[in-house]
Amino acid sequence: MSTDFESIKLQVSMNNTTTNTAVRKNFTIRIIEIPERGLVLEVPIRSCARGHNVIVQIETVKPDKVRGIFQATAKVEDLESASESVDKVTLSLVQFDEKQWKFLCDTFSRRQREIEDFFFAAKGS
Amino acid sequence: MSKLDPATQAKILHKYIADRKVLIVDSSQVSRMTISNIMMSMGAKADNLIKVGEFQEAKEEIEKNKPTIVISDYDLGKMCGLDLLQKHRLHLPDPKDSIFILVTGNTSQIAVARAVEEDIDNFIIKPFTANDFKGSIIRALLAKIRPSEYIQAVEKGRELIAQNRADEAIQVLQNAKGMDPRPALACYYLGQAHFTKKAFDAARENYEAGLSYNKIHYKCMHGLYEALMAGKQHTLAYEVIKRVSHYFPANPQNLTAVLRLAIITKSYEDVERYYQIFSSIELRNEETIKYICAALVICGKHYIQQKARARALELFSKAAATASGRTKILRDIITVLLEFGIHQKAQEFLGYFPNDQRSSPDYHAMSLLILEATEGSPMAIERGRELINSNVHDPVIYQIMIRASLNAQHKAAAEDLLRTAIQKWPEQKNLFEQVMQGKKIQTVLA
Repeated sequence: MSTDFESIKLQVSMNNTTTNTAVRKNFTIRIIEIPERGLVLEVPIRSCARGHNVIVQIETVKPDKVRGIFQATAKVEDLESASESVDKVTLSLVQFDEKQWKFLCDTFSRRQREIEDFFFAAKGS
Repeated sequence: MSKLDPATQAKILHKYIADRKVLIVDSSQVSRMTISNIMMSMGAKADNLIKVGEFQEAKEEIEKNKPTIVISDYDLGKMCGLDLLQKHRLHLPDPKDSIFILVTGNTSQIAVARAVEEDIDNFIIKPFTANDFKGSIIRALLAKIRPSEYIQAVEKGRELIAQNRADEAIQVLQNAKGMDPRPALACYYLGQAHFTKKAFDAARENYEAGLSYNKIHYKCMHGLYEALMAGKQHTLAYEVIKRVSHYFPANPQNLTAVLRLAIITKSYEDVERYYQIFSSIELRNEETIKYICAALVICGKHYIQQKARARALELFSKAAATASGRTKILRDIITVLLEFGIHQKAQEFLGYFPNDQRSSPDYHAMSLLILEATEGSPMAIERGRELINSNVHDPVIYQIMIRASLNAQHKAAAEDLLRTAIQKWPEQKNLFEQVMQGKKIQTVLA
C-alpha cells in the first residue's frame, strides 16, 4: 500500500437559488461532515447566508469507476467563517432522492471502513 | 472483543461514557458541535464535554481535567493532534483508562500510518456520517472496556515484560497464542520478551510468526527490524525497514533508519527514492534532514567513483538545496569534488553558502581549499596567513597551511602551525600529524 486513501473522486457544486448565483468553478467545494439529513461544506465567502436556499450536487466516482450523483435542495442553517476566503456552511436537506442519499452515505461509510480496516490490521491483535 | 448483544453493548457504553470527561479538539466550531451532539446521543453528559479549538487550550485542559476520552483533529494549525497524545498518556498512563481518537479530513497514508505507530484507539475520516462516527467510537471503547480474554492475556504479558519478568511473560503469551486464530500481537510481545533476554534469534522467530498471521503488523515489522539490527544482520534488516517505510512512509525515524542501512548495505540506487519520500514529508526533524543530506553526498561520491559525474552532481545539488545553509553538508560536497579534481563545480557549490555565512570560518576554509587546488601552495599560504592574522580559525585552514608550508619547504613554519592547530583542536591531533607526515587525508563524510 503506497498510495493515499483517496479512493473516491468528488465533484461538488452549489447554486444559491435565493441570490441566483453559483459557486465559481475554480473553487473546490469540500464536504466536511454529513450529519443526519444534512451536509457541512466549505464554500467561498459570501456564497450564501443563513436562511438562503441552495441546490447542491455531488458527483462521486468510486475506484471501480461506478459513478453516483446526489442532488438536493437545501437550506443554509448555519454559517461559520473558516478563513479569510472560506466559509463553512451547514445545510439541512429539504428535497432529495433517498436512494441517492443512501448511495452517497454508503460511499463514505465504505471509505471509513477501508481506512479503519487498514488501521486495525496494522495495529494488529 | 467480547461478543455482546447490541442492547447490552449500548447500556455498557452509555454508562461508561456518562461517567467520563470527553475533550473535543477541532478548530471548527461546527465540527466541535457535531461531535459533541453525537457523544451526547451516546450518553455523554453536557457538563463532561470539553470543547476547544486550539492545541494550547487542549494541552491545558488535559492537564487540568484529565479527560478519559480525547477526540482530536489531526491538523491543529502548526501542531498535530497526535502531539497531544503524549500529554494525555502522561496524565493517564494506564492505557485501559485513556482513549485517544483522531478525527480528520487528512486521509494521507502518512496521517494514518502515524496514527498506527502512535497506537491510538481509532481514526475517523471526515466527512463522516453520524452512524459511522458512533460505530468507530463504539469499536474503540469496547476494545478498552470489554477486551477479549486473548487481549487480557496479551496485556498481562506486556505488563510482565515491563516488570522485567520475561520468563513469566513468555508462559502467559504462549497461552495467549492459543486463544486467537491470528495472534500477531501475542507473537509480537513474545518477541519482545525474548528480546529483553537478548535472545535475538528467538525474538526474530516470534516477530516473523506474527507477520505470517498479519503481514502489515506494524509492531512485528518494527520488532523484526530491531532484532536483525541487534544481530548485525544489516542486509536483512534493510529489507524489513524498507517494508516498514513502504507502509509507513513518513515516520522520520523510519526514514533515518532506512537511509542508514541503504548506505551500510551500499544500496545507493534506493537513496534517491528515499529522497522523494523525504520531499513529501510534512514533519522533518533536524536528524532526518542531516541524514538525507549525508546520504545524498555519500551516494554522489559513489557515482563519481563510478564515473557517473552528472548523476553525482544532481545528488549534490539536491543535498545542497535540502541543507538550506547547513554548512557541514556544503563542506562535504566541496571536499569530495576537490578530491576528484572537479574544481569548477567545487567553486560553484561555494555559492550555496548563504550570504550571512560568507564571512564565517566555514566559508573561508572551503574557499582556501579551492584556492589551494586551483592556484597551488604559494597563493594558499598567502591567503591562509591573511585569514589566521584576521583571527579566522578552522581546522581545514591549518591543514592547508601545514601542507602548503611543507610543499614550500618551510618546515619550521609547518611545525609552528602544527603546534597551534593541536592546541586549538586537540581531538584532531592525529589528523594534523598525518598532514605533517605528508599523508593523504581521506574524506570522511558524516
